Amino acid sequence: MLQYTIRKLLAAIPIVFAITIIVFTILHMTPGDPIRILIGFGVGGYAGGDVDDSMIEVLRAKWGLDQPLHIQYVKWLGNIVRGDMGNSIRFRSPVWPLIKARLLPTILLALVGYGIAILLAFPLGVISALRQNSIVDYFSTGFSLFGLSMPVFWLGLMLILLFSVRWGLLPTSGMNGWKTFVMPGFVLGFSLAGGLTRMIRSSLLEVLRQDYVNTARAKGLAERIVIVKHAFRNAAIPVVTIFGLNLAYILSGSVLIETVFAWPGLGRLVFQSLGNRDYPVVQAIVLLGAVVVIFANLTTDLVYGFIDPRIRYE
Amino acid sequence: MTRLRERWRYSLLRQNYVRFRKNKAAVVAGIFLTLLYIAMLFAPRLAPYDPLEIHLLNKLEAPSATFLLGTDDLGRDLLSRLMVGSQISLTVGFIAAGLSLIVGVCMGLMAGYFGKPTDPLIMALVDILMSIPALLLILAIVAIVSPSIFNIMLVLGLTMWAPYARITRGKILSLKEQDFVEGARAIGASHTRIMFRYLLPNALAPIIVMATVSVAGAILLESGLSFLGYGVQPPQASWGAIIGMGRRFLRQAPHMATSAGLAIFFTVLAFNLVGDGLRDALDPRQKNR
Repeated sequence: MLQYTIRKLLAAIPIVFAITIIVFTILHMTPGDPIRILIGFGVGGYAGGDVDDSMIEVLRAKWGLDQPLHIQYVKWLGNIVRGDMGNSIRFRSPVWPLIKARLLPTILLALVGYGIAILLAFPLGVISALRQNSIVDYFSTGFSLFGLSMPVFWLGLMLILLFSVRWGLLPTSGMNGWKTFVMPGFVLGFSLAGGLTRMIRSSLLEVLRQDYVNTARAKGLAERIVIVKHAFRNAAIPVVTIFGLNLAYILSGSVLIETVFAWPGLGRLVFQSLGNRDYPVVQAIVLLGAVVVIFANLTTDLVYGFIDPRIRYE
Repeated sequence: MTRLRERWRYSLLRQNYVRFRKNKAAVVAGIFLTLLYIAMLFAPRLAPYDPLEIHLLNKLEAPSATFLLGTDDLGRDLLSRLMVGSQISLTVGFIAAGLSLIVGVCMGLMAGYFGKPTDPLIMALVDILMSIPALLLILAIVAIVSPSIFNIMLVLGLTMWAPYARITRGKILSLKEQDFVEGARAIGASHTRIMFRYLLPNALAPIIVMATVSVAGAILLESGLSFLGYGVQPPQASWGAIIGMGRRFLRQAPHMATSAGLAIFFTVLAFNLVGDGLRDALDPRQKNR
């Protein structure tokens, strides 16, 4: 088990490495000079006033932007390894504190969203698997199709329209007390619940057809025990599998949801930084996101072992 | 003619078609999409107004008999803008999904068929693509290349192929050990021929299902990009961009965001319904799963 974990960790290193190269290259090919934007404080690359070119050259040298790309990359990677993610060009401060300040809101939103998703998807998925072709089953199929087809940002706007503009019940933006969590959390949860409901339903149906479930019933166990003790455990594996993919989705979705609700999280920071051509911040966040997803996938791999002891790690 | 009819009668295609027809929701969704795509082709002619024509006296007007879905912040007719905007949203969705299908299936075929050392390399690429949150990656790329409709299709297509590669590879791995492949090799078929004539047709069912679902995914992604302002640039407007505009006038003119969002929602829903229908028809073992 320990050996397996270590080997998986080692295998993740070249992938992380490749991701750093991709992310670095992409953002350094971006047109739009961050120095000019910094001086002009405009998004369109407008250089304000009488800034002469020598001044720009000095600033560019100061940020190391005058060096060849591969040298910038090696420097950047070396710093990352030492935990220094560079400096934000726009905010004129180190990247890490900026990210750290936005980390908690995003994590909280993800937790609330995931919690709501499970609260919605678990009962629906289970009941629709146990009572196939019942009203609940049709409802849950419709529900999951809605969740899969609804653009998250639009759902967010519609909720704002109803609950904030029309009824004035909930605040539209920011993170300030539990009321602000309601709408963004629900939007994220609803969009995740669609896929999750389907997954729970189909994996439980698959398990319920297995011989050992028949055996358990045949030996006279109560249906409740058959389902809770025999079926749930094995149905959980595919559900756990998509957790890692869900996490990648949450990070993507958070850009949209956080923009709609002016949530002070990483998604909005990325969006603002892209507009400002603030490479270091975007790089750091994309990289952080990818690393988190890789580790989430590794963790789900290991969690299988607890759910299903038959799985052996070689 | 009779022979053709005979062939159709016993063909696999007909069996699939009969099974698909049983799913009423999927059939309705399929008809809806067909009509939508036909309407899209003729949108500039069908539209009641020029989508770029500005009626400054009718800014942000609510739906009425003159402007069926109301007007936007410059007094442009929203229905006409939605109709012409459908060309962008639907084309991007279709072409991007098609591109990712071609790339992903080829990658998956090669990975599954050739084994080491091609397989681990391609799968590493797949792992990389799947670990970077999609929208972040696409946003970062679209920020570099100018967000023309062509570039957006290209970027979406080249970032969405990973699931295709995974599913194709899985199918190929189980297929390539079978006797008919051995037979093909024995009569001297080339690698390309074995891959495309023998393996691919047998792996097609899950790929077709994934294709419909990924058109839905591409339309959603494109609308998200446009909403954030990284889609096609004004005065052109895809559905996502209209919602993005509508967001600014949510209080004065809620109809802007509402109608464009409904358009996206129903289109994506229809693709998902057709996808479900195809899954039931092409992959009967998966039924009730």
